[in-house]
Amino acid sequence: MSAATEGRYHSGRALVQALSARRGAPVSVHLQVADRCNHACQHCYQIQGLKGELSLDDLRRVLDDIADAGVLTLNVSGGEATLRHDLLEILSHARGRGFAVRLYTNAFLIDDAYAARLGAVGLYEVHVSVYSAVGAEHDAVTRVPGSFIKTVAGIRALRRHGLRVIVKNPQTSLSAEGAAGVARLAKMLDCGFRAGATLTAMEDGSLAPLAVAASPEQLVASGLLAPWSPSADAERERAGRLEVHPCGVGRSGLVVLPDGEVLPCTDTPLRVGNVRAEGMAAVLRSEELAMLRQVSWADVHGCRDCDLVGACQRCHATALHQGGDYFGPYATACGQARARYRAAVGSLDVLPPRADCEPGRDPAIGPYVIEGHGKIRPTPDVRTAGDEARALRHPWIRKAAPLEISAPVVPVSRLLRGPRRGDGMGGTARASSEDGGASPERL
Amino acid sequence: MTPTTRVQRARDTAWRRVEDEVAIISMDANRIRLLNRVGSFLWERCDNATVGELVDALCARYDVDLDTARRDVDTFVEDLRGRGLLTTEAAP
Repeated sequence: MSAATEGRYHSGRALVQALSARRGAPVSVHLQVADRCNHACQHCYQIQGLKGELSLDDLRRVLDDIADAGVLTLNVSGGEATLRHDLLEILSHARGRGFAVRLYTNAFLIDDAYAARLGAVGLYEVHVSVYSAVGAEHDAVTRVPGSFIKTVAGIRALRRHGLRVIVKNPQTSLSAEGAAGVARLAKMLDCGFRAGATLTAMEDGSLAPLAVAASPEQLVASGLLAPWSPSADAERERAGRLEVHPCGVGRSGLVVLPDGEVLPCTDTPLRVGNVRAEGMAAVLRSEELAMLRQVSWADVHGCRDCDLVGACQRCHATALHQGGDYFGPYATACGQARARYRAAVGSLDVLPPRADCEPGRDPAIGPYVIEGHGKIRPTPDVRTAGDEARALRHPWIRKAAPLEISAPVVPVSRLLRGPRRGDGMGGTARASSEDGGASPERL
Repeated sequence: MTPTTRVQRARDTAWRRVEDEVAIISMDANRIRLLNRVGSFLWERCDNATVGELVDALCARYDVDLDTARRDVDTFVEDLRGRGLLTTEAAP
């Protein structure tokens, strides 16, 4: 027999992806437990207050169900999860079912006592978003004055109680210095650090969050977009690229919304089932998930014909909202790809579109062909019969005109932890709790 | 370690069986370990089981002689205990 102790270490992400691929099911679930937030971040993709929230009993059943389905890591988020007075009970139940639990929070409500209780639960990591090392810039993103001070205090409390904290920095145009300052802050706070270059559309398709997206040039300057140029064997490089998945949608994780509805990722506007009503096993049999799990770069029209595909960091969901086609090219990703190429070659000329392009072709959107050093030319975006057949079978992958909504404001009452007002589903909120319920003294 | 030593999965671990292998996340070490089939078989039984019980289970499940099973269980427990994934308690 083989030795029983042989084991293989991997990076966590690589192993989770490998396990997901082998199972044909996710190893990770992102569980949104709160349909509300005490911040109103300018770049947030969520529309809160309309979904409702599962009760604690419902959530326990859901956690049991997704544990039985083999999910290993659980990201608990909101809205702002700490606004639920029963969050500690949710987390404890998840730990009892053997999940590795990450808590996503803005840490605004986390004081020393609360951090101690979180520490006792045994969390894997706590992820806290910080938008700038300059308080006023962070507060401008959250639209809550004083939020930077409270968030940093919350992080310090978490660290005092031994919790591993990952400071995340979704980069926006509102931070002058960008990720570098937040990285220094994270180091000073003895935290891990992770920066993000991509903002996405809102759940209703509004592109409002992209208005504060960092420019491609800012992302290059901050190191979030690395310079890129094709290798000596560009054709082979591109052929290899076409065989891989552009992202983990449908494979590495799923998202459970506060009402139990399941999405393939946080940004794809497709409900593939309800985990409370149907159970995770039934959700995993969704035809849409099966289709998404198979998608490779070769299925993305435009991008598959583009010489800059090696530089592309596209998001299908943003493509749908911005360009109208989940599997088509769109301006933000093309702009970032051009910026990476420009950073590598020094300057970039975008030549007039090739003669066989459709009339009025927007040169800001690929595909492109490289015609010499630093010269690219738009080429036709060729849709095949297979692309059209997929769109007929899955009509949600193409959409009509995007919506626009105005930005929300934050009522003071939303800064408190406590019962959800107008609770129509029962059980989510109680009048009092050990951690202080809706006590305004917590502020 | 004796046959009556009790073996327990450490509290700060998360794990799942994935087909015939067990994936373990160690919270402290921020690592994921993937056990092979035999290791997975033992891991699932490390719920306050004695070393002797693990050896017996291994012999019952696999075509293996007693000495080999004892050696494998000892190595398994020592290794994972050293990594903080298992705890042991000597028999009173």
